[in-house]
Order: sequence, then structure tokens, then C-alpha cells
Amino acid sequence: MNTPSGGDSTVDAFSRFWTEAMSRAMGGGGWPSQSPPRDDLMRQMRQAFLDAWEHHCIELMSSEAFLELMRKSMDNALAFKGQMNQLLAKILEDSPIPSRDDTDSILQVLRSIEGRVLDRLDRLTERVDEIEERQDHAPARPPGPAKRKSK
Amino acid sequence: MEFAERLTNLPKVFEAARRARVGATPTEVVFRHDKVRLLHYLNRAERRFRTPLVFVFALVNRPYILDLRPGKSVVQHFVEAGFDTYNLDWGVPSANDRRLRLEDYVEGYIDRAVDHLRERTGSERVSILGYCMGGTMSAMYTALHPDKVKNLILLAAPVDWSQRDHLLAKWMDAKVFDVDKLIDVYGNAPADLLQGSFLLLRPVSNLVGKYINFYENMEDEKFLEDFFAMETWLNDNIPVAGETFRDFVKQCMQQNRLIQGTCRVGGRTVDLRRITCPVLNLAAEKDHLVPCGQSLPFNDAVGSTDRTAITFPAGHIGMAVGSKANHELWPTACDWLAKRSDPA
Repeated sequence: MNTPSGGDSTVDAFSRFWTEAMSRAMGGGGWPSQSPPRDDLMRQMRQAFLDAWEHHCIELMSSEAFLELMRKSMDNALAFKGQMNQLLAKILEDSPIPSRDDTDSILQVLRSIEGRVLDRLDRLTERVDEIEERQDHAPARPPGPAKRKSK
Repeated sequence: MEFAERLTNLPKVFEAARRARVGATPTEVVFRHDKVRLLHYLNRAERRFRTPLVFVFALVNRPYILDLRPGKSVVQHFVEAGFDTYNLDWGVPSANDRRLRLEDYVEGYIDRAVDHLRERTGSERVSILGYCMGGTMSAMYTALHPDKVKNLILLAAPVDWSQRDHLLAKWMDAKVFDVDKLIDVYGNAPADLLQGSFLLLRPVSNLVGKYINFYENMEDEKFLEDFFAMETWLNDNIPVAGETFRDFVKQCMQQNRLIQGTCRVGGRTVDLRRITCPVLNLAAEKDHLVPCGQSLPFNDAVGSTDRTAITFPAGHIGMAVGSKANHELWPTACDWLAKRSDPA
């Protein structure tokens, strides 16, 4: 695929967009008549223009150059944010204020305890269910000898 | 002259913006776990079915899109059809939730909510309707717990990311998007980043066309009510728990493991062939977020014999709030579910 220089490619892209927009707007039927266009015709032309514009924006944002630009921008932004996070963590470390990592550690401990307690409860519930089921299925005891009443 | 007339209408516009309300059906909270709430929709309609229905929405944005306004509510269709209807509200993850993994949502929150519903209603199995990423998670859940799900409805749910020609797929490609770097730095997937990305998928429609349409219809009170309700939802963005986002992007969007049967959740492999319940797969023809090609392959991947796919001419959000969908699609979906639910 040809990759013309920056200026030429911009002109080419605009030419393609304009050609498509005009084609859609005219419905492929040539110039509008001499009489004033109706509102709906104006809306159709406007919508055609917007559709063409969107199509070309999407084409641009799908291009290799844009994707590469997006990747680099994000990498740079994340690197900067990462450095800010480290600086903030250092400041908090030197101050008596708890940092996010501190609260995170506490939460992890709590979640671990919660998980272990819930697992234990689940196991206990299963055992109780098993015991109840065994009791339900146990054969009925024969009635014992009648007790004598003492005088 | 027309412009001047519209200007005089501005106070009504501001009033409509101020009065914007979302949510058509009253709810009660019947279950909580961490920040997750299970909402029960209250209604006066006669309960015709015993099998409860639970909506599972995506982790981005809020689930009330399914019950946005009267006449634009998927929930109302099912409630009025006599279903005992619930919605899983994930809540808003904070920085402390960044270690929540996909298994915490699928095997934790969804499973506990389903167990609660089974106990509450006395029904052994429930019906699930999953929307977008919620549909993907619902599919994972059903594959892992097929004994608990009676019917599965997927709405614009991505399951197969093999098609790489649309914009979001290109942006999420592993060569372009390093999800590890994002989550290592931010903790959670930032709401602003997600919102911005979604807007840019249709830049002219969302940033220009929408406002032209608004200008042309700003004298219509009903239009204003619907517009501001929609705007409330669109701007009600929430972050996604970091490890869940990392997991989902890597396993699903980049490695496409779900449809290949190699996706791992909570130490278990998700095998879609274990899904044997009736399946209704609703795909949106004009979906710029989840193209049909990402949703439709689900029906060939499951073990169900009762499988239906409907491709509807609407966009991703239009499937839930569009007038056409409300008049045509949702009555059909209700009928489908009614035939496969236990009577009350």
C-alpha cells in the first residue's frame, strides 16, 4: 500500500472524505434542482455528511499510525502516573498517615479471614445436613417394654 | 426566528434536566453481599411463574438501563408477564476492591445470589438474563453450575472475539493495549477511560449528531424526559475492579479463550458444552460495541438442544431502551421464557 508523505496523505484523506460525503448527500444523482430544497432533503444531506465524517473518523482511528500513537500515549501517561504513585507512596511512608498499601493489607487479611470462616461454615453445614439425612433414613427403633407404675 | 423560539424554551430544558428520573419499577433489596445488592421488582401483576428471573448486567455502567423509564423498560415486560423478577446491582467498586477477580463475581456474587433466590422462591433453578459482559459472565456461570440454571437469555453478549475487524477489537489487541500496565498503575479500570472509549467508537454520532438531534427536538417534553434519563445513565460510569478487568481482557478479549473452551475461572475450566438448558441469544444488528459475530457463535458452542437466536435491527443500547425493541423484541422474549418456566 502506498504511504505518501504526511501532507499528501492528509490531502488524500480529505479528498476521499469529501467525495464520499458529496456522493452520499447527492444520493449519487447529481446536483440538486434549482428549487429550494425541502427540510427533509436538507436533513438527509446533513445525515449523509455526518455518516461520511464518522466513517472516516473510524477509518482513521483504526489505522496503524493511530493505534501506534494511542499505544505510545497510553504508555507515557501510565509511566507518569506510576511515578506520581511512587512519589505519593514515599511521602506517605515518611508521614504518620496510612497509605493505600496499608489499608490494602488490612483488607486482604479481613478477606482471608472471611473466606476461611465461610468455608468452615459451609463444611459444617454439609456435615449437619449429612447427619440429619442419616437420622431421617435410620430404621425406626422398636418400642421398648412398657414401664410399670410404682405404687 | 426558529432559533429564537428554541432559546425561549431553555427554562423548560433546564427544568427537564433537573427533574430527570430513572427507574420505572419499584424495588426492594432482598440480599446483600459486600457492595452487591439483589433487587426484587415489586409489582401488582399476578405472579404466573414460579421460576425466578434474574438480570445480570455488565460491570461497566449501572444496571437500571434495563428499567430506565416507563415504556423503555425490559424489566416491565417480564414483571407484567408474571415473572418474579430480580436484578443484580454490582455497586461501585472502590480502590479497595481492585483485587476482586472474575471468579469473585461469577463463583462468588452470582452464585450466592442464585442460591439465595433458590432458597427464597423454593425453585431449584433460576432463569438468567445476561446483558453485554453480564451475559458473558452468565454464560460462564451456567457452564460451571448447569444444575442451577433453568433458562439462559443472552442480550448482546460477547463470547467469541475471533473477529478483529471492528474498532474496539483493534484497540483492545494485546499489541496495542497493555492491560497489565493500566491495572498495575490505576488499580481499577478507570471509569473515565471506559466512558471515553465507548464514546469514541461512534465519535460523530455521540459528539455531534446527538446534539443536533437534541436541538431539533428540544421543544418536545417527552423527548427531553427520555434524553435526560439516558444521559443520566450514560454519565453514571463506574470503574471495573482491576483484577477482574485484567482477567476478562486477557482471557476473553485478547486470547479468546471462552469460545475455545480454555477459559479458567476460579481454578475451573469453563466448558460451554456443559450448558444444556434452553438458550435464547439476542444479538443486535447495529451494535458497534458487540457485533453480531461476537454473540451468535454462542449457540453452536453450547450443549443445549433448545437454542434460539434472534438478530434484531437495533444498537447495543437500543436493544434495551429502543421503541422498536420494546414493541417487538421483548414480548417475543417473554413468550419464549413463559413456555419454559414453571407455573406458579
